[in-house]
Amino acid sequence: MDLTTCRRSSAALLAGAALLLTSGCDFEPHAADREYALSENNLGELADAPDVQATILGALEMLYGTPQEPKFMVTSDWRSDGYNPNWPTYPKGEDGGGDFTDEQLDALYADNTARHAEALALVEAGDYDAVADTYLPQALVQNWKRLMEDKAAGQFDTDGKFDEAAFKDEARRTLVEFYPTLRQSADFYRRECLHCHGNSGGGDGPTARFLSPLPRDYRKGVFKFTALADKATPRREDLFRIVAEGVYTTAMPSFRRFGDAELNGVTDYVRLLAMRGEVETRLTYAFLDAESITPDDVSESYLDVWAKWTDPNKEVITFDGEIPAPTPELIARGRELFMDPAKGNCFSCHGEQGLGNGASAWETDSDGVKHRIKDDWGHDIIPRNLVRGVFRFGRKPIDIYRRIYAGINGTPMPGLGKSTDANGDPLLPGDDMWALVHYVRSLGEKEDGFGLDAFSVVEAMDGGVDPLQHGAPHEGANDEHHGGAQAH
Amino acid sequence: MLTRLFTALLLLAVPVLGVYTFVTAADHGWWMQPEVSTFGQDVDFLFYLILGMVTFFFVLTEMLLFWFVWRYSKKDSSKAVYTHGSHKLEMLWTAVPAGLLVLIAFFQMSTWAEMRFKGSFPEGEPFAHVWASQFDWRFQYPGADGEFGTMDDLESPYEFVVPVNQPVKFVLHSRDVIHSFSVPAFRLKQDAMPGLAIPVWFQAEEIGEYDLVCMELCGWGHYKMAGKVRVVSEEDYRAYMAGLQSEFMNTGMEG
Amino acid sequence: MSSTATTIQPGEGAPGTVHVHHDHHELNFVQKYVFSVDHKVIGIQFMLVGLVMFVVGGLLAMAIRWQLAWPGTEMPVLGQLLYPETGKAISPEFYTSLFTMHGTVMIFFVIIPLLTGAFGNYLIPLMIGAPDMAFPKLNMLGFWFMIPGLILACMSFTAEGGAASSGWTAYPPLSTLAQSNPGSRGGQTFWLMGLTFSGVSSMMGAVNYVTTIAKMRAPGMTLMRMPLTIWALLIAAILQLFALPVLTAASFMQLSDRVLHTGFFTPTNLVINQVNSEAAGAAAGGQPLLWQHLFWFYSHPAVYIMVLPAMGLASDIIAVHARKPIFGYKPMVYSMSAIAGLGFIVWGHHMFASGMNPAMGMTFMVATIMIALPSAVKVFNWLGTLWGARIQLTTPMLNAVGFVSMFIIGGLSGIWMAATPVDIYIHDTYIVVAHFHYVVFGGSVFAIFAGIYHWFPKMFGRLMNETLGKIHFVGTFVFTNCVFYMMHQLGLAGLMRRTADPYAYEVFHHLKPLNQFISISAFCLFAWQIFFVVNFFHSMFWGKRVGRNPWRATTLEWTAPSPPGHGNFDYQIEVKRGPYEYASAEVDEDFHMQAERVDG
Repeated sequence: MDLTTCRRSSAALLAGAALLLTSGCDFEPHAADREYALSENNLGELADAPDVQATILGALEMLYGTPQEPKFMVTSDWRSDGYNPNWPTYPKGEDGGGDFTDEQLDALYADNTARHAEALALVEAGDYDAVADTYLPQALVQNWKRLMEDKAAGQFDTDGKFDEAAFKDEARRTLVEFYPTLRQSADFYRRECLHCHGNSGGGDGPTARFLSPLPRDYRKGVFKFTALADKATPRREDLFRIVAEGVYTTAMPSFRRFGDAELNGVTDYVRLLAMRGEVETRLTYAFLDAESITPDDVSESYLDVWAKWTDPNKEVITFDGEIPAPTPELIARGRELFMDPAKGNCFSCHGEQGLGNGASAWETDSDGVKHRIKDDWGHDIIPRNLVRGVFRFGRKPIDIYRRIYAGINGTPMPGLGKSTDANGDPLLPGDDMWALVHYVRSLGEKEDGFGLDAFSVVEAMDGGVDPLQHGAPHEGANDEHHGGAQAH
Repeated sequence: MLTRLFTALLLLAVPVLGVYTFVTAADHGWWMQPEVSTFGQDVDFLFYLILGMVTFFFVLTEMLLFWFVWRYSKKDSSKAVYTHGSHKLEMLWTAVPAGLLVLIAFFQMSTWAEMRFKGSFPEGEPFAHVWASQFDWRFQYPGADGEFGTMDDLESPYEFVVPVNQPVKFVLHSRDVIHSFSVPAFRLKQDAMPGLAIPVWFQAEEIGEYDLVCMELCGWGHYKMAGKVRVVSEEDYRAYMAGLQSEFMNTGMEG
Repeated sequence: MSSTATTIQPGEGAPGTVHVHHDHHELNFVQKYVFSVDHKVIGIQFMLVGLVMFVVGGLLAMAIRWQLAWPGTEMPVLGQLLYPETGKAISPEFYTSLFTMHGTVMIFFVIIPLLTGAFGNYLIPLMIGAPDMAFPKLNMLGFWFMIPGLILACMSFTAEGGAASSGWTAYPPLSTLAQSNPGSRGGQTFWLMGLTFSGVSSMMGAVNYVTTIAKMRAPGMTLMRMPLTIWALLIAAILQLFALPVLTAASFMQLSDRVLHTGFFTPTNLVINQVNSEAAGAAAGGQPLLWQHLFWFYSHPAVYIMVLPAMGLASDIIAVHARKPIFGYKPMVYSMSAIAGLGFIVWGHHMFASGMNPAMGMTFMVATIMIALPSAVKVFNWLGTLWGARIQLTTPMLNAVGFVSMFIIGGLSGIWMAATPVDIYIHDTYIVVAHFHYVVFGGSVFAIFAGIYHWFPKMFGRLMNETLGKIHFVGTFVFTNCVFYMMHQLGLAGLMRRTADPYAYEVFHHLKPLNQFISISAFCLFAWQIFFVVNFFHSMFWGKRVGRNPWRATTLEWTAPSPPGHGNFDYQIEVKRGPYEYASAEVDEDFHMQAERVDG
């Protein structure tokens, strides 16, 4: 072909390649800025008062910052006490909420040491540039980058010479004493949590509408699964366990693929969102009560909610002693309690066979339409099918003990641990609690979805039968047929 | 003339850069994860065997293509070679690849049999039942009575702990949709099929933590369905099980 | 319409007659260009629709690449529209819809319509010397069946929960249980209906092609004188005839699982999102493996449906522009037949990790490895054709050579996938993505470009611009390799397909720069196609006018006027020799036309 053709094509190609190289190096798009919004309920209450909406949003921004720059406001009292809730080590001193003990912090650092062993080894070897190529949490990558910038800027030079020992100390500290800032945790939240739990923690992210059960709305301050005796706000440990282990068989997975530091960090941020939501509601109702919001309202709600969340004296359900063995007698006793309307009364919702189909699982509204009972968030709630043996928050005896003892927050599941009968005696004295626990656990025995078939397959492997032929799923778990047989 | 040069260079770049990429890939970590299981070596051997053969034919054919396009696009007013083919050549380039391919197929069989055939499964009870669900892994161990499906079964999320240098058999289930139990470092992948209980085995040869990845699309959260397989020494394995056991029986007294 | 149909009387359609009728009624615009029964118009309709959908599928791919390079960041345009509340980032469920619809659109509404629909329709009657297809009205119906399919598939995006999102493979129960996946709410139903329509459309085409080739060849056009394009289209049509009914049945079964709550593919007692499948009305006792078998029984041959015609087009184009007979015509035909035959017994290689009986894996492996053989034979024959040729580096030739170069890579990487133990490592990783994009993009799409550049003068009587064409080729070739070659590396590192955020795993963090490189290359690749679009439409109206045979080719279509009139040939012809008489000593020129005028 003619020369111009080729010249033009090569020029165009070179231009393309140049574009590719230049844009490829530094191009790093960001997520657009977001803003916290009022909850739908509060918005409805304040529909006629847009200026109050703005006031509340402004106050909340002062207290809790923005999604890009979240923070807890430091009051003047706190400042004079040297107490800063934005930094996780705050409880290390004498005062504070008691969220992080020294031991917990040490455990956190030990976890970091194990996780970043490769990077630490590189620091020891003096190969600082290679550290960035090891697997570091995203937030730590930023911290490390900043450290290296400091190094390049000569921050570790003494008398014009690079002080390697000082730098090594600092590098080690950066890696081991890593704990994300609230801002970094908010970024983590945006990446991992936001699409379900929503920007303001309302459980209303874009994915949420496809999920059942719906993601938690933090702003009510009610969390279903805690280890606490009364309906107190959850401890850090309760939230952390949910983040780390997930809520089984729901869309909330285990986030164990991240380190303890990051998960604790995101727990901090979830607590911030929850507190922010609660203050928002308090301010809304303060306005509805008094037609105005005073600065005192704001600071009072802020401190109140903070105290409530960081209260170190919450009652944790424990059992002092050995768990009694699940003897047939105890299980039979459990069955009795399960069926006794004056005692457990479990059957009324969970059904006589534990299938989650008791009569009280439905209610009839004024139009005579039968529908499922609702939880505090106004969603349908389905009593657990105990026969499946799958429990959202653990199937350990103590987990089920706690569920029966304290109920499930925000749901019609009552707590029986402190209930008394007509005579004022404990409803479930002595081993009765455990009888119920063991009975509930026995319902799921050999029944949680694999039953006998897995074993016939395994046997089939030894006996030389094609596994495909034996793949037919168990009939057992079909709700109507079973369970009764398990009911001893 | 320039078109000719350009085209020839492009065609030459394919084998040159193609091979260069593969040669230097390992430096950037763009290469297979290190293998740590008994059949990992065999799989990698077969991979490299095929890689060798494929590279040979890749370079051969791409270089021929480059050379022919360069050589025979020269301005030439004479006619092309008039031929409709050569029986001998056809026989040659049918028989040689056929032989190689049969050989390759033959080489795979024993490894495949070792991985999947029932005869090569370890004897005895499985170590665990593994449950896949949207978007979690759960590992169920037999507990104190050594039997599955009883009240004292132990369960752990996320992390599958197995002893080193022992054949580990487990049974794979799915609670909802199709998932895939995949540990790249073990060269192991098995779909978890709802309605089927599928026995799987492997033997890890090095202590360490290995990523467990769901490799079959299982819904919107597929990308976050992660797990870990932790390979530990025999004692650590016992200690871990004892720890699970004591945690199972804990009464909340120690936090 | 009725007038055109009269040109082919059932009894007269026997081999060896070419009818030249001149009883034209005046056709109005709609009859001529919309509801036309003329195979050439239908072919061009298929081509235009295919190219438009190519842009749609390409845009979906760009969104995918954005997410893979910069997950969770503000997505240009789309993010603002869809996800203002997440910082304008794509949500994971939308990502699953994106790749599902990308695959579906590209396979069912781009590659298959372009290759079998556009080139099949346009070239078959012209290349065998027939005035039109055997069943022109069926032909028209075939095109108009694809349109609702296409609309339904796109409507998937409007459904509650978004477009189908269980992958183009639509594995149940993810695809059958509405509660398991956002896209399985309504989108999947639209998707299945769209698929069924497009399948029926393809089947109509296939019946037509087989009949036309069997019954309507010009006098002297024996089977072994047919150009390789015709052989390839014939074999692809036979594949479609046998495989498509299975897919159609399977998609009906899945549809009935979804709509009528039958239980072909749904096992017992699945609880997803608190909904028990049986309590929700789904019958139980099915098995997802059944779907996998049925689906792959079609969809593996579908890969050959997508690449065989490309091989045919490339063979013809190489012969013309190399000015040399095809090397080993018969081995080419035999190897294509072998690919088709073996193609029916290799579907299980998609299921090595599925829990299928391992003994079946062994047999499928042997069959799959052997299918590399005919592909290798074809590559060697193309090389043999180029040897000793007088190559003219025209745009069609560049694209055809590009096809061979890319097909070699796609074919060779397939051997890893065939070998069961190795496949266990690379199954569902990016190696698979690299492999099939090399076959379907590097292979089929380059052949499609080559075909369009080559037959454009025949279709519109004007040449496409060579300068623009070459610029288009060079960029496309470079960026294609930048995009897809590096995916081998991603796959070797173990990166899995279909993940909304590959960096959810620490072990894949170091692949981020590579993914960004691939994405930027992909954006360039997409943008580069502007050269083609400009060239295509500019040349359609202002291109250089040409006569009957601008490439000095031998096959029958170049005997007809450009563009061919109604009935294709304006005089009686008889085929005297094979299709690749280039450089023959019998004539002075370096080509010897296949057909000669016989009506004096």
